[in-house]
Amino acid sequence: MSTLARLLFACLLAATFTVIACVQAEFEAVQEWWSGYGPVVPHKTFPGDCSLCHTTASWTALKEEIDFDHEAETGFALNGQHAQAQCLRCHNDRGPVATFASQGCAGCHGDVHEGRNGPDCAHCHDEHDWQPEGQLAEHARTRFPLYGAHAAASCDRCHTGIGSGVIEPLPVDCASCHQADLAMALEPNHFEQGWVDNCQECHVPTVWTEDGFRHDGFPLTGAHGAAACEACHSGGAFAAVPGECVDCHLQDYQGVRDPDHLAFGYPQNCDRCHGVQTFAGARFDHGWITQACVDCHIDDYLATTDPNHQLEGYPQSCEDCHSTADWRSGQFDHAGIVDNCVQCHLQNYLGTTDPNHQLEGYPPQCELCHSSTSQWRGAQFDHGGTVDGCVDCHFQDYLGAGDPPHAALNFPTTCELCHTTQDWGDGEFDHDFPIDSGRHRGLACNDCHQAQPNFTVFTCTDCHAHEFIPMQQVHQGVPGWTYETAACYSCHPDGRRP
Amino acid sequence: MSWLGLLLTPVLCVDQEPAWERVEVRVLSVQGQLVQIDRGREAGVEPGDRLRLQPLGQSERFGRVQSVAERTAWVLMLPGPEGEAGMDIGTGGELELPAERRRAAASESDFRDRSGPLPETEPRWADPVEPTDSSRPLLEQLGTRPEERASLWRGRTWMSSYLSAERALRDSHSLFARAGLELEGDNPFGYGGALQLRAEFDYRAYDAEGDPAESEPAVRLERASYRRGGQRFETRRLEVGRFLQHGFPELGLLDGMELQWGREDGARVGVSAGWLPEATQELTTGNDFQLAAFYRGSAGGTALADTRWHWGAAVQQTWHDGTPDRSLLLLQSSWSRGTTAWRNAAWIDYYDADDLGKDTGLEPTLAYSMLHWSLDRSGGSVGVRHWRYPQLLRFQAGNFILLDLFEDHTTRADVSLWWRVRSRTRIRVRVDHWQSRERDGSGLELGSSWVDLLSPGLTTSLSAFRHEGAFTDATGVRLDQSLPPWAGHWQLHFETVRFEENDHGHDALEHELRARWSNRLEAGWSLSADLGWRYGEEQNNPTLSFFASRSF
Repeated sequence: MSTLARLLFACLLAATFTVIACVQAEFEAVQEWWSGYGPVVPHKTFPGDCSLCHTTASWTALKEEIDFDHEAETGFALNGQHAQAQCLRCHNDRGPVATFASQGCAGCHGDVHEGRNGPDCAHCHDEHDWQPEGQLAEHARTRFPLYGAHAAASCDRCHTGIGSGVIEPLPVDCASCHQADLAMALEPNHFEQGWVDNCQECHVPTVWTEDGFRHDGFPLTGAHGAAACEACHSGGAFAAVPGECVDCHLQDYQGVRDPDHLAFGYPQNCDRCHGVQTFAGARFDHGWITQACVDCHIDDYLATTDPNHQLEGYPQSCEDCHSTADWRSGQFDHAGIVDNCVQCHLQNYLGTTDPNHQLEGYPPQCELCHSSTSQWRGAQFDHGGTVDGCVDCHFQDYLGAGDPPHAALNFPTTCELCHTTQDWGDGEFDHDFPIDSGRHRGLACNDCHQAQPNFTVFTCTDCHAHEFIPMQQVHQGVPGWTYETAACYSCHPDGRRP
Repeated sequence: MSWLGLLLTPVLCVDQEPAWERVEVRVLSVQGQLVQIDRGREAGVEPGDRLRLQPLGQSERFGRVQSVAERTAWVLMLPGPEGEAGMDIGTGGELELPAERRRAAASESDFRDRSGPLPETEPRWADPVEPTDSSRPLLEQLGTRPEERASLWRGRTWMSSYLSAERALRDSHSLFARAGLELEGDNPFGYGGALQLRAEFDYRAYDAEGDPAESEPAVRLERASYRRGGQRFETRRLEVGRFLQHGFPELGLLDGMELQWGREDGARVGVSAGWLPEATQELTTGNDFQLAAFYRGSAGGTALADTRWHWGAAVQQTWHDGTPDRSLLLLQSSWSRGTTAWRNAAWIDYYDADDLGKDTGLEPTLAYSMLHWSLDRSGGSVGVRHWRYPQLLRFQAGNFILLDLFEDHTTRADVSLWWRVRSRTRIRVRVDHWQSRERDGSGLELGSSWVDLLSPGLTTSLSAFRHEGAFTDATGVRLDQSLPPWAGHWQLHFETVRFEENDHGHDALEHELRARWSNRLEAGWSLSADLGWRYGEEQNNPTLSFFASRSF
């Protein structure tokens, strides 16, 4: 029956009920004299003021509105339908009403639940229309909160006796209600597999079919979730199905060539490298490797050009520089290596241009300057014991010096005269003629050397403006005196009188 | 000799008393041609006496007394002239009774003229007037016995319908419709007693995607019994038919008879025999026969504020298709005083070697103990409940897993407390813990309700909860709000809950939105309708239900 048909049926039922109810016997007022009871009995527990209920017109005429605070007078509040009930429904021949009221609701109302739901009727019912409300909320307080298909099911599908009011506790094991589903589960056959209890291990309450199926013993994630059951459970075998990757993927293992799993003796626990999404993009786990790196990475060794391992004669012990975590960031371990660097670093030696090791005839003993095996640049030449012959290494510096231009000024190539091994740039010029004191202190070079870049030419007389005649007279008798700057310098090398 | 009679007549007339005496009567009740008058044996009335009634505005009516009680009598009236109305209650008249009989009968009742007006200045009595026999109710001597009363019928008709559809992962629909009639008649046959009838038509339908559709109409006869006694005139009570056993409802619905005796001390003893209908839709019967006996006692005052004790015990033996089945012992006790009550009950089954999966001996199948109190500003309850799966031929379905279920048991303890912190504010807390053979769980619920929070007269309720189930835990919040009355009462409900499956970590967030309308009309009508929608990550479940009943 479709939903619309059910709705129409329910409405028809409502209409039929309405017709039936409307032709019922005439309803009597709430409080009225009943001929069937005659003088109302018993009155013993009623208050002594007859005028509370009776009018002065006749004993048979009761007041329409009886002003009586039942709760204050008796301790029993008349709420809901109790306020609408006729007094005689409770106060009658059965006996003192307190005898029944003191037993709770069941004292007057036959307990259709046969006592199984406890004595507190107010847990589910109220006094207005007795219709139970909030049953899902009440059910959440039990061992079996309802949601999904269970919340949508009508109560009688589990509590078969509810039509008679019998709502006794039920076992919450799935199989206790789902026997029929268990019997109909043939693909796979649950009975044959011995799956007759603990249904919750695979099924959830929201949906019973495979959409709600849980395969927690082997999570069906990635490609496994899309696979058909028969792909793993061939021949209807569900019990004791091996859960190792290779049990299903043995052919994949044997067929892989790059790398050749079989040839290289790869372990068969595929999950060490492979995920469940796809076999491609595996991440190799080196934990089990016992053979040499180059056995697998020979192609990498041969193909590497920066640096060119093969050309430069790198050893094939890859592990000397490379780790399994990151292949590209190879770091050579120089531990124990103190000399013969050029055996590996020959190309570095030949390729260096600043300074050009080869052109400048640097000795191929790299360790003389390159003391750090962690950093190639920033080499520091150990000048220890080197006191002269600087130009042998620093000839280019000599040629390249511009202020002052060493070569142009025919500076001597004895660099050690001005330079030290601590700081090349801050060479100290040893000027025979004192220029660090007196009046010559602070003069610029071109104050005297006015024919730069020829520093061999200098003048004294530009500053010391001596006239020829007076000088001749002063230097009378000085052998070899001439009126020339060189002559002045030869006798006055320190600028003082001889 | 005629002159002698003439001479003697004055002497005879002077010295002799009247032969007939007129006794005033009034009509108490009318049932067709029968009227009940307020004179009976104590006034000297006997069957055959002649009655003359004088209805206002109508011609005199005559009748003959048919049956006589202590203080009343039934009179069959001759048909009146056409066009005239029937007798009215309170109609006056008179009986002609032999004077000799009158003198021999009891004196007149002090309440002859009950229809007179009450003195308006009558003072209010502080205490009820005590009758001559303080053990009997006041005015009892005027009371009519049940068999003397006119038949009185009352009852109720109802109809309900519940529609539910689930559309989340697999389409399913269900319908449960009911229509019923309940009748209760007092003194239906003139012998006192009461007749009870209750029948219901049910229609269930269910279909789900991939499953065959199910539909199941059924007519259920839930009650059909006649009972007599069990009241102050006759403490012995007999009930036959299909009824919920009166002495101990825990014994269940019965197709048979129950007989109980009331003792002077208020105790009751009873026995019952008959068949137990199956608690199924059809209430099939005839397979399970039972014999039972019970005792109920009570002690204490007659006012609700008095301390009262009730206790009871029952034994029941059933046979399923002739094979001895259940041997049950029921125990009950309760203590109450005002709004405080402590109630206990236990169902104890006896198993022998023939009971599969159970050890020989007594085993409590169900037991509870609950203390409940309600004071002016606070209240609460404390309860303990224990339950096991019973071994009964009656309910078994040949299930091979039952052996495992028989070993399972559940014990639950819960505490509920409420406080009225202000005149319009109430807070409540509920804590519970349950334990079964292999699992356990706890629950906590905190809530508060306010009146007049949003608008005068409206109630708002909010609660947060967490419940641990055997397989599923539920954590959520619940909100209820009443709406301004309009053609009835309206209520809104919203709930959001996260359900977590314990065994495999699956969880789902579900919500519920519900609107409910209810109204009580005149002439005993009670109507309600409910529209709900449960939705969430794995649920899409609209529901519609309505209920209508009329009491008469």
